[in-house]
Amino acid sequence: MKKPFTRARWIAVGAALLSVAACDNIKHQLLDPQNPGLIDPSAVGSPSAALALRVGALSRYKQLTNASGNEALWEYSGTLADEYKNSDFLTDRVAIDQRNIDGANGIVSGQSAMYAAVTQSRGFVRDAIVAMQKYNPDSTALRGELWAELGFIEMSLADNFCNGIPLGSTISGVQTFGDPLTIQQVYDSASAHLDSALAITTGSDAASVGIRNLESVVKGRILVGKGQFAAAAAAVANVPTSYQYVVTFSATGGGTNGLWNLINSIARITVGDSVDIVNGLPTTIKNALPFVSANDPRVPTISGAKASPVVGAEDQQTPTFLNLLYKNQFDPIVIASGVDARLIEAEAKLNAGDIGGMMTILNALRAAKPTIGLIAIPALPPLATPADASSATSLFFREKAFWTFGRGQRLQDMRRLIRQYHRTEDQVFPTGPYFKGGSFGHDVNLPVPNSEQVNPKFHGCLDRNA
Amino acid sequence: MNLGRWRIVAAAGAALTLLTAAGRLDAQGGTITGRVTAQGTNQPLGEARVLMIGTAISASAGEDGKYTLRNVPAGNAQIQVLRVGYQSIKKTVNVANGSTTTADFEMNVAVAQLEEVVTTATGQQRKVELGNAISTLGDVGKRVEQSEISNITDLMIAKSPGVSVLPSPVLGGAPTIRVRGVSSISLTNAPIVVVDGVRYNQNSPSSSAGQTPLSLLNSLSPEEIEDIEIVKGPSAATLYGTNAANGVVVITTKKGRAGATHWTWVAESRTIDDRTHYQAQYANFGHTPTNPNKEVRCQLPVMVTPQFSIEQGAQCISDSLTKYDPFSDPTNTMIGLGRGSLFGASVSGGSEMVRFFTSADVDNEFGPITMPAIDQQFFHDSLHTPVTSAMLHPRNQQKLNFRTNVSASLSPKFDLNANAGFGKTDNAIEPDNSLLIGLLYLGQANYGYKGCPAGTEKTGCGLDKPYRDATGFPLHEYNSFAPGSVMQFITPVDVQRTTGSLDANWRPFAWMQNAGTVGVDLADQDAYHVCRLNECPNSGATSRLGNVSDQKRNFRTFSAKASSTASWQARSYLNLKTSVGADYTNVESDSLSASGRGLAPGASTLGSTSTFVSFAATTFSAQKTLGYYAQEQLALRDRLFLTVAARQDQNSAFGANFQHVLYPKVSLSWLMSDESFFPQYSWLNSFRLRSAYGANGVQPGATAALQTFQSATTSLAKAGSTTGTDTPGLIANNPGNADLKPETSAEFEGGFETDVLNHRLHFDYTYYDKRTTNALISVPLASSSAAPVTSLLQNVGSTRNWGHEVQTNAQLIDMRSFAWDVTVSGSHNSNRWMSLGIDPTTGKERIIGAGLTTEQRVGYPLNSQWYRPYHWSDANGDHVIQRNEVVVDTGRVSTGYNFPRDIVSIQNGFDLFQRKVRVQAMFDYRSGGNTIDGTNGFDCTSAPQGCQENMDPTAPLWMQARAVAATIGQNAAGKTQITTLGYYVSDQFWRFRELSLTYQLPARALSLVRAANGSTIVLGARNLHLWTNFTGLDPESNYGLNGAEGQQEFNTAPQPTYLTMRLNLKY
Repeated sequence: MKKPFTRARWIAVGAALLSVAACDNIKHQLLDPQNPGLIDPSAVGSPSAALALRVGALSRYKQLTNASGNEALWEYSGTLADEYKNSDFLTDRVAIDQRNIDGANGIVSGQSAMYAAVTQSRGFVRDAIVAMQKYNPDSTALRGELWAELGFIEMSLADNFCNGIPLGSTISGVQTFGDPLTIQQVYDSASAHLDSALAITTGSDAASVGIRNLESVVKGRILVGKGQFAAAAAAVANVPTSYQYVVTFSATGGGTNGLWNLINSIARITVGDSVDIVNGLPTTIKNALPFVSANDPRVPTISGAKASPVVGAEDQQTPTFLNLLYKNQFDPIVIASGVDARLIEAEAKLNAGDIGGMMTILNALRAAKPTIGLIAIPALPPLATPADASSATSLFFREKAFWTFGRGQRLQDMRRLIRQYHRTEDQVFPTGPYFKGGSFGHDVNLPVPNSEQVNPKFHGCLDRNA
Repeated sequence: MNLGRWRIVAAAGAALTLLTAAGRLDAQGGTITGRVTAQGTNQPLGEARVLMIGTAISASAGEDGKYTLRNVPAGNAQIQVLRVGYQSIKKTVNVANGSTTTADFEMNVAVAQLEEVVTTATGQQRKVELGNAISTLGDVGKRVEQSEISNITDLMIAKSPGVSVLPSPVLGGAPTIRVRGVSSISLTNAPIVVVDGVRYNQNSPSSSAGQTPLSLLNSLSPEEIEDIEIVKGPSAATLYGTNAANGVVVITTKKGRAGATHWTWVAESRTIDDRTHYQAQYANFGHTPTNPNKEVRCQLPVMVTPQFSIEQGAQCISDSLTKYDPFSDPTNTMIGLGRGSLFGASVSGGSEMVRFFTSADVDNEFGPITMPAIDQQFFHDSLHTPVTSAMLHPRNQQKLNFRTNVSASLSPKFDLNANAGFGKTDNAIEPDNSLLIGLLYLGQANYGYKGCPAGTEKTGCGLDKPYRDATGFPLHEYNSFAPGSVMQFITPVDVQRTTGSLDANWRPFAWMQNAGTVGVDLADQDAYHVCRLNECPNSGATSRLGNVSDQKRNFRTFSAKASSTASWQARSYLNLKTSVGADYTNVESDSLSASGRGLAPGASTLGSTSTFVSFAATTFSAQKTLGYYAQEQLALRDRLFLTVAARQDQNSAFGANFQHVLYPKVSLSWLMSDESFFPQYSWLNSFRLRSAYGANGVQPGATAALQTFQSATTSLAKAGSTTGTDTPGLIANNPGNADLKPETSAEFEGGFETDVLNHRLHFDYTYYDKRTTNALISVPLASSSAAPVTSLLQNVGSTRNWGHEVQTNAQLIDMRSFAWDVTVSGSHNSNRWMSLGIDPTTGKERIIGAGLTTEQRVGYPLNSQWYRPYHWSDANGDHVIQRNEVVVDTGRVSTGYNFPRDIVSIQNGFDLFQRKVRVQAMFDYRSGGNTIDGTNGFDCTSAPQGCQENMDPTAPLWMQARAVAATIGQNAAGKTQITTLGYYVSDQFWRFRELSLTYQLPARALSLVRAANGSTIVLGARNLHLWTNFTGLDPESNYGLNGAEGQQEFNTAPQPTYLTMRLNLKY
């Protein structure tokens, strides 16, 4: 620099720098949070966006078997019941199988664990209901389907968790904490949602009829949970036995069938049976149904050692039995079906003291050759009529356990055997020595977990009763 | 103050500065030139820093010791010379316009090998002017030459008080670096890294599930580094802007020096040895009273003893006890000897006009994990498959680094530096963190005995041990899968990285210096994982069909900054220095990944898979910061230094309602010993007080403030159909937080440093107290409230971090034939939650993670672990702990810190044989926290539960008690209540971290290879020995290490021992 800058030039330079620093346009460009993958709220205020929110909400059914890639409610309610047994080494998972679950159990508790995944789903469904009401009010069946899903989710909470389930809400970012409710109160809430669904699903087109069948079955199941058997039977009367409402899977459409993954692929749980090796000896597990050894076509199984490819247990020790209701990674799972409807009707007969009527329905179902998912069930021989109500009750629940295997109904049914049929816990649940050491505990439900304690109204289960 | 007012004030201040500066235009100056030499030897001291106090004029001495200062204003000039290892000296030189004045300097050796000039946000500055502590590693090149140093972690570990470095135990793994503790539970606590003025990405590139994350830091070669400075906290890092609250690691790469061209050739060979004493597993063979012929694994708590009968609850009768450790079994072990080599060359030199440094090095290494001989045999004999080198040594790395730095003095007033580096790192590590296929897990969780009873191979191996996995691969005593099967999992992660920066210095006047830097850091990563057809463990139904996944990620960082500094000697005793500056940083990344399944024999590419499995959405993330700052420094008689500064930042991640943040700073440094009133003692050479206060922040995540939705494509079936169609959908994602602002830390630090005993001993003490407010916390939401997220990032808390740091450098003996120098550094850190915000629903202080093991509570340390305590006694005196001899409390208690609070390192240096040989040894101590012994915690609670305390009646009672408490514990009422507290144990250890012997090659040897003085041969070692009571594998192992605060050891690779021989030849 041969010639020194003049004062005026310095002022000019300074002013230029300051103007650059102060220029909002430049700063905006420099600081704009460019994130092209994000979808902002402006994109969701339209009829097509409401339909997309509906699809997103329906995807939450998958949280029942695949909670954001983790184990989910149906697998572990079935493990707490007798449908599955543990073939893994983590103590928290074993604790569920052993019926000894506390609120800190890492499989139940946590921000991405199964309780959170299911209960949080209510918000997504509500979002979709609100959007559909606003932008597509005439799509009544689609709106009804969402109400049914909301009811189904709440019913699932009541079926499987202890008394003390909060049902809060978040609207426009404002949280409203729910009081802990008894499962009867949760069933009431779910029932009201189904009433909303049934009230608007009145179309006669195939899609509307199909959705109304879904609503009827879910309503029937809720009423059964409430002990209103006759009303439940009336609710499902028009559902054909061949009806199925399924959730489907694909690589790019929500991932894997979680039941296939946990049972048939990584073998973290295995299909349960009435016999286990305990302390080196074959031992009959009291109250456990022989889901494997019965060789019942409704619960088709194969030994993991004989499967192709071979599937070994995650703990490399427990003999594995795969569930062939799901032969492939993306096979569909049945949410509600005509089989469910018939079983609801049969239970109404049972409760009405009409054992013959119950057997008529059950044997008709066995002869009906319905399809469960992709599996066609062959005709089954009729059953003999039991001699008394107790035997009829046992037979009914055994029969139902095979028809509904692995579909999130067994734990609720076992709880109802205690709650509605007055059996004791040790007459219903697996009891006695446990095959991995020690003995079965006494839990009959899943606890609402400790992670819920950020809800100031929640201080643990009201009780752990059935 | 709103933004408008701030702009006006800033504009006025800057304009005033410029006007003031412009009003003092000097006439043509003079030149000072001369030579810097060592007193006594007259050796030239290259790299000495010569500067004119109170101005921006400075120069570095060339290798001949010569320097030139140009444009020096006429009059008396205060010249100071600084060089590491020598005492600084000052001299007044009279300069006339247009003339050249000669001033030579002779410097005395100082014991304290400390840098006297450090790099700050406003440029290079004398350390004496700073009120805050900055740790400098000094001559990194020398350290690298003379020690076993393979990466940045090796360089930084145990070198600076208050800096905790948890090294990764695997090649290329990510270290956890923490400066003065942790302040946040939801944001990173890692310092930022700046290389040659450019933000350097230290993210972890993707690795496969079950693998220790790798680190992008790994792609920087220690051979290229000249200096590392650690700016410790907000008081020092204020001007570095948002995200520097956790400190700044400032790395400067090597630059050329004026003088003859110098070549350096490096060749290094190393071995990597895993000297861990792996724990054996046990099998207590027994039988039940009802079935004497059936063997069972007899757990101690239910084993019959003379005082514990079947009637009292015993369930088995012990027959015999075995133990087994596959890692000490020569036929089955997978612990071998790793090997590595380094070859490198660098050349530097140039003239005063243009100087250059160019280097290249190639570093190859494979770790000690080696396919067991017996598995190799199985591949050869039964599978007829070759064992590839990647399978034989699954932990391996190939690194290639190039660097060229050019410095040009385009005019006496204008310098330009261009720095460019390229690194290529191909890294693979074994699945070490997986619960299913983690190699150490498979060995540690063995069955406690070797071999199979005759005839049982097909049905099992007696007791509970399988002989083969489900595919027929013999387990060879390992659990679940054989190492040879796991080692078929090929997981290379390749990173190519280019860094470049251009910085210019323009000194139009003696009193003004303008600097600007622009630079980029571009890293491309390709993580390619493959299991070929019928290879890899059978861990799922599709795991052996042939699986490929490929993820490509790009990391891009752009940095630009400009600053202007004007100096003014207002009075003969008063110098003012005004700096204004601005900088901009944009940190971006995106990724693309896909996976497929179903490979033909031999195929291994994604394109050859038959089934498409997944295609991950491209994610794009950008975090941008724009900041302005102004700083005024006052120097009174060159002994009292006051600095006042402020910085304003705007950031793309701030909420819409929060536009900018202002960080203030003030610091004071007082060289008291130069004051006339200061008592003069012959033994006291210097004493300086310093104190600083400053603030800084950490930004929230890039999109945390925004309300967003996410796509939720799902397969939907039409009515009556069981076939779904993929249908695009949406669900709410982040509810957003328009008020989101940076987590702000304000820190006070004070301390002193002194040189005594003729500069033989240097002592430095610092106390710091950092308060973090607006702490960003992911506040958990009750999932029952059905919000779209289960936690929400909010500014709700405050934390406090405080502690002490000391460092002493001493020359204990200094004779020509023998010298002994010692550096001891230590630090102690405390932290607390001061507030977690008021829970609006309860009106009480919030508790984060209530009921969980990691619980955040006011008054307790961050991330403190909460466990139920337990009590035990061998009441029946049978030396076996039964269930009823352990009582687990119902309530939980905090167990304190989960990271080491106390860090001490002792470095000794010995010069022998007329300083031809130098031996250095460093010991490293840590304590004050706890960490999880996950190996025993898991092996004792999970099948086959073969840990010593479950099986061996001679196991210490306290170990038996912790196993009982963790598996079948009960409370006082006899109800089942377990606790794993017994496996949360002290992290205290001493480690013999470094040992090296450097031998200066004698003239005769040098003449043989025509090398120059300074050529050396070095024998080095790292991680030589560990003293600890930690019950797991290694208190420095870290499962899932990814910058997370909750360290735990869980069948994770321990720190290996490195032995190195290195030849440094100079020409």
